[in-house]
Amino acid sequence: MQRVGDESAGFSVEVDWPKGTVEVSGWGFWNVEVSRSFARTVLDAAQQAPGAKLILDMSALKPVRDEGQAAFLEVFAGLELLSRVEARVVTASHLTKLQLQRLAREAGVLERVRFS
Amino acid sequence: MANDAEAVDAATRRFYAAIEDMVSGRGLATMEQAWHHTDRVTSKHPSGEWAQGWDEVWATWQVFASFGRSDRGGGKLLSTQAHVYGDVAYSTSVFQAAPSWGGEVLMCTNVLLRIDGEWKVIHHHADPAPKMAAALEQMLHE
Repeated sequence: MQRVGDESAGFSVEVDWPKGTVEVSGWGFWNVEVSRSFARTVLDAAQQAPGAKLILDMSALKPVRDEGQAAFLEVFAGLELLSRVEARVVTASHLTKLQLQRLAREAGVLERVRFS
Repeated sequence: MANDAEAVDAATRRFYAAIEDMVSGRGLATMEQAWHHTDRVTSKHPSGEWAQGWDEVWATWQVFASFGRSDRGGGKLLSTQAHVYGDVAYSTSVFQAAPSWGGEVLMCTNVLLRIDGEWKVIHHHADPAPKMAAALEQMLHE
């Protein structure tokens, strides 16, 4: 498992081979450093597991600033390149959900991402 | 004292004018001006989130602003009352959200602090607004 950030804010990425999933968890309020490492880390993991389903558990993530928005946009846009990948996003904060839904729409993948 | 209350009243009205700018798609410049920018500012939004510190507060307003559009304005500050205690004050307000944002009537409390003679918001608290949440979901698909 890769883990970036600390207990107060960060994310982790883990490929679960038997389940065929790339499981990403995010929490807290991301600083610039955490935001900037997010997209590359997630997309690298997704590329290593072709066809795996991407699960973004963002239930403990607060709305992100500009750098975080750019990172999610890059991840969602990456779904277009990883054409077999489906994604599910779990949120608890309504604002975080709205923000990520808007970014998924902006990336043109809203229909391919299931939000819950 | 009356002048202080008037100044707090004016600062509160600037905050709600900033909300109107935001929902009408005119951006967040006035919202940025309405707040002190410190690690100790806080906000509890109608959608339920707590934001602590200016960076977090700003990020939440950015989410709302992303739904702003010229035809989505029309919120109304129905009443407001200022209470001043030295350099700290609070205002209690009744605010009706713009129709396209659910139109709910919200009871709100704002805490303001005077620094260098300027009253600005350091805490905002609004009632929960389920209709606003639903309206925002709908806007996503417009």
